[in-house]
Amino acid sequence: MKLRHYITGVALIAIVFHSCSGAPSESIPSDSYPDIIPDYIGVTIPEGIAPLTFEMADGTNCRFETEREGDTLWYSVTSWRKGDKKGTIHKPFPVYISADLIDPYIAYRLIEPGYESWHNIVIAQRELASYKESRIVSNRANDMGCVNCHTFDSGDPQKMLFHARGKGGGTVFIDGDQIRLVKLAEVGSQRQGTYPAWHPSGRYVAFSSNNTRQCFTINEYQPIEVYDTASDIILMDLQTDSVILVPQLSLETRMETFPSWSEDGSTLYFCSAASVENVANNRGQVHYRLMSAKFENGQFIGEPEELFGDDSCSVSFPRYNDGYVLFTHTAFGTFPIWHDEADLWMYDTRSKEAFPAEILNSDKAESYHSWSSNGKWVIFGSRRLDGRYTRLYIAHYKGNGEFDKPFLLPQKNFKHNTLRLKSYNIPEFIKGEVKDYEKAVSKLFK
Amino acid sequence: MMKNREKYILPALLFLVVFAIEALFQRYTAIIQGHNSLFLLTGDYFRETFAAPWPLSHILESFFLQFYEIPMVGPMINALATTLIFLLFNFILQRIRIPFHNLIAVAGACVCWIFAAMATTPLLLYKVLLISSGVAPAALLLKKREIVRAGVWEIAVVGLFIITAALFISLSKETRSVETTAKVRYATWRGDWNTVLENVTPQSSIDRPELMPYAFLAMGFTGELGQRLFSYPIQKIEDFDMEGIQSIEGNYFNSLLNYYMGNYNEALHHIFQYSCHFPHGMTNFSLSQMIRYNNALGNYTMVRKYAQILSHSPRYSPSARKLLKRFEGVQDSIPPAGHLSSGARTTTNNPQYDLLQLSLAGINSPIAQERFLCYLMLQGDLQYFVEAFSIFHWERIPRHYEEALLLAGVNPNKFGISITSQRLFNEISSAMAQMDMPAVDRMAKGTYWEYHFRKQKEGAFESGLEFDL
Repeated sequence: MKLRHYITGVALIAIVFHSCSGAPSESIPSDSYPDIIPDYIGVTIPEGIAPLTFEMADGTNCRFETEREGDTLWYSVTSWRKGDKKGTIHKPFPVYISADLIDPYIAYRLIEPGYESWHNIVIAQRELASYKESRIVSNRANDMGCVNCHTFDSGDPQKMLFHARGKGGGTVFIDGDQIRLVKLAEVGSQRQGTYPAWHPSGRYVAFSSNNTRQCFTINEYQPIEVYDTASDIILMDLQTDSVILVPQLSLETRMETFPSWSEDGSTLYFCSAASVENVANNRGQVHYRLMSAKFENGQFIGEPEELFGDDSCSVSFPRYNDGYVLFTHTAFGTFPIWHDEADLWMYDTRSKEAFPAEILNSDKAESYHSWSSNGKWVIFGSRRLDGRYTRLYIAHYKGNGEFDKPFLLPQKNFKHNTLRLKSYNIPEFIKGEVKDYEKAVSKLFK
Repeated sequence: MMKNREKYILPALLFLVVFAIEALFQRYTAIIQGHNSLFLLTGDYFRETFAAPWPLSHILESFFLQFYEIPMVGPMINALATTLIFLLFNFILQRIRIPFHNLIAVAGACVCWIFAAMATTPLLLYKVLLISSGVAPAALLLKKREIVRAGVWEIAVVGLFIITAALFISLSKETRSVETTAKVRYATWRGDWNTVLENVTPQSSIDRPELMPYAFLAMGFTGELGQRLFSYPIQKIEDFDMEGIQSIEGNYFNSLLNYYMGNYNEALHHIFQYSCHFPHGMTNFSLSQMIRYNNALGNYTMVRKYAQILSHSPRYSPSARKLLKRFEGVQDSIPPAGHLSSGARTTTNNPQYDLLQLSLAGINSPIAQERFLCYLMLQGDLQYFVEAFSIFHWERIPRHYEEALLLAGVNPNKFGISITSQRLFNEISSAMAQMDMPAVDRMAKGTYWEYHFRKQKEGAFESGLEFDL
């Protein structure tokens, strides 16, 4: 509700003027929509989101007016070239406003889309009602080591974990003002944690433990292939701080990764692929399947079930909502963000069929996605703007496995997307603002 | 009149000395400092700068550093900054009535200059400049003091200070070493191979073996690799390149090496790695190299992106705008989206393997081919060497390749090996048969044989190469 208080913004103001200087006084009407970047034509946004900003794709000047009619916001764009005596008034385009609430904040990691090293890494948060971005923690706290794989307990801003690599590194658990560093590799199964999934009860965290490598393609569009040579799933009980290697989810002949819980915590979805010799050269043969395992009273029951996948594709990042599992579909491998062909797909747990979420996809990579706490919105990363730097898109979930057209996370100025030298990683919705934990975390590394 | 003249003499003297010393001994160091800086008029840039300590000095430094990339601008700005520090110190000291203010101010400015010259960047100059600029207005509140003419002895001592500082910087081994490295790096970037070879000689490499890879890269271009490789004091295979060294030097070298060999993705990888060593994780140099590499790769979308970013830098804005105009609407020439790269050849952190993959990927780089032959020689794998050597066409066989072929036991006439090499090989063989080791050492000096025999003695050639094609 706080979100609504912040900005009723675009919705309540009848007409908003956004102008570039030197607009001609006369304009000729056109019956086509303006060619704008990003493509906001016909997208669905939540009530109170920060105003959408855009430019003409051909670099011409533009100004726009908005008018609200019920749940539709009409954008009327006038464009002109410098020196033109008359501009062009384009056919007004609609932006639909959904009544479904969205979490007020998102958290993500900002990192150079480099390969092995980094300089600044920040786990940041963004208020969706404004353009305000602030730090949760950065790698200055752990002496420029890596900070990664943040996750929240059911979107609770007070309960989060992330890995802080490097000297004295481990997994940082935050619970309000209590902050502790756990060295997973030194307890129980003696494995490092990688991709985490917090059980809805808040008691357990499933981690994959991956041995990750990379190789570089020679002058291909896809410059890099990141792959695992081995991976298993481990389970941490936060009540006893014990970590166990789950036997069914750590087979020697297979690589298990990307754990993710169902809403009620009774099922763990994950991905599994047959181990392959010399993965770098045989990477085209690595095909991860969508799997599920039953979980009850802190125990995995029975053998995991294969849900979807064959030797023509690979599945990553399963995320359950409303009887569907949203996942990333690629031709092969386990690191979809470098795969142009990576798209978001839905798996229907009732009909046991999978299909592409067409409206969310582009000819560039779509990857890491997560659901809002009410399951009405999904946020995901896409490289559709330039093919290299991941930017965030949000889409409204209509139900029955269908989405509305997604929109690019609005920035004060669209150019920010070009000028930002960092990629967005691991976007997650959060129910409120997270404190700046920089100082507190840095104490753990002193 | 005299007072006025004195007012100008000391700053002018200081400016000229600092400029001259920097121009003579730190010219290339300044250019590289300029390359490694970043100043962008973007929100992210300022946010990141203000999140770090001393943000104002960093902004001031980065603003000026971006222009250091223009030859001689760095020495001039440093000389100006040092002179300004002197003037501000002098003004403050005068106002608070400190005796011998000229002397103390010069000493202060010289100390700042020395420390800045010995550091990675001249940040100290800008810090002091900023602090003294802040203090100077406060000193204005104090009553002006009648200027006392400096005595001859005072001017002499001031001169002595300046000369001592100049000598300290110009005679410093560290300064010279950094300058040579900078000169070699700059020449490699520009493809000025003669300058590289003039500065990295077999003699100089005894003291600075870490620069040898630059010479070997240059010789790849001048066609002398097979002729002169072992005239350099190469001790082990690792001396040949900097692969695996995750240092500024290693990343810089490898990004250029891979670019020159036509392996652009790997060049991009190394330039990203290189950038990570600097604040903001990016530099002007990295951005311009990314434009260069992406252009070579045919990824014009990324060329435009990096050009747009550079257009927000006061130094590079005009050239970036020109570039944007040139690439406006140009379609990428790299394989389109949807193309699967599962069958593409890949490189890892194994130079020999990577060179072979490069060749198998159809990248016809003479530098890569010769480097591959050199690796085989350095690895002592003569059987592979003969096989690889036979693939290429040679108008005249370089000396070291002849030496390796003879050692491999090939038919010298079939391969067209020169009579000189055959004769020397026979002489060394007979000296070896007679166990005349001093003669063997004398005759084999500067040849592949010298290297090969030494490594054999060390037992380094036990395992050959294994390639999974």
